[in-house]
Amino acid sequence: MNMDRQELEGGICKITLDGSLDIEGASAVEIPFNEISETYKKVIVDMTKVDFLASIGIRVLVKSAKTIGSRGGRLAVFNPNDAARSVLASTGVDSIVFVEDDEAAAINVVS
Amino acid sequence: MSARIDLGCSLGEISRLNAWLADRFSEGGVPDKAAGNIKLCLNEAVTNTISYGFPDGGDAEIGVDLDISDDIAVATLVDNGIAFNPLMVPEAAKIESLETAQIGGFGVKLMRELSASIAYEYAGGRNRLTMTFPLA
Repeated sequence: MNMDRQELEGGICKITLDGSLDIEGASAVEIPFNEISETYKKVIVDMTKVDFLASIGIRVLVKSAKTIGSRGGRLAVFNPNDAARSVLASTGVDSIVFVEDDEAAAINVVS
Repeated sequence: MSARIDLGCSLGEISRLNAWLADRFSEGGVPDKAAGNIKLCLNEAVTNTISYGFPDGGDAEIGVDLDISDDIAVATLVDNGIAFNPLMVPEAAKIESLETAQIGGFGVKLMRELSASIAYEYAGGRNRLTMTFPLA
C-alpha cells in the first residue's frame, strides 16, 4: 500500500491510496491517517487505485471521519471501485463518509 | 477443484492467503465479483482467528479449504484456536451518526452479507466455519 498526501487550495488535504486496504495496508496507513485527521478539517481520499477494501480499512475511514467530524470538518472518498463501494454501502459507512464519483465532487462536499 | 492452504498464526499470512486465492480463482475461472466476495469473507474470518484465536500462543493449526465447482464455491476455515463462533458476535449497530458510530464490528456483517450461507461448528477441538458462494 502506498499513500501520498498533497495540500490543495482551501486547506484541503488530498490523500491518494494505491494498493489493498487489507490488514497490512490498513496498518501501513493508520498512523499518517490519524495525523492528517487531527490536523485538517477538509480531507478527500482518492480510492481509484484501491483494489481491495476489508473491514480493517473501513475502521481506518470511520475513525478518521469521527476525528475530523468532532472538529467540525468532513471526510470524503472518491471513485472507489464497485466492490469497495458495495462494502461502504453494506456497512452503512456511506452515511458518515461522503462517497463521491470524482475529485471535483469530493472537494465540493468538504468545502 | 479442491485445494488447501495451511497458514501460520501471524497477520502477515493474510498476504500469502490472498496470493494463493488469486491463483485458485484464476485456475477455477471464478467470476470477479464472486472472487472478491470469497476473498473478503476469508480475510475477515482468518483475521479474527489470527487476532483472537490463540491468546496463549501454542501450536496454531489454521487451514483454509476451497472447493470450486461449476455453480458454487465452498470456503472452509478450520483452526485449533479457542472456540469462537463469529455468528454469535453482535453485528455493528446501524450507523446513525458520526458521534455514535462504532469503529469496528463490520467484519461479521460483511461475512453474513456477502456469503450465500455461513455455518459454524466446534468439534474435536477445532473451529470449522463454512461459507458458500454462488458462481453462476
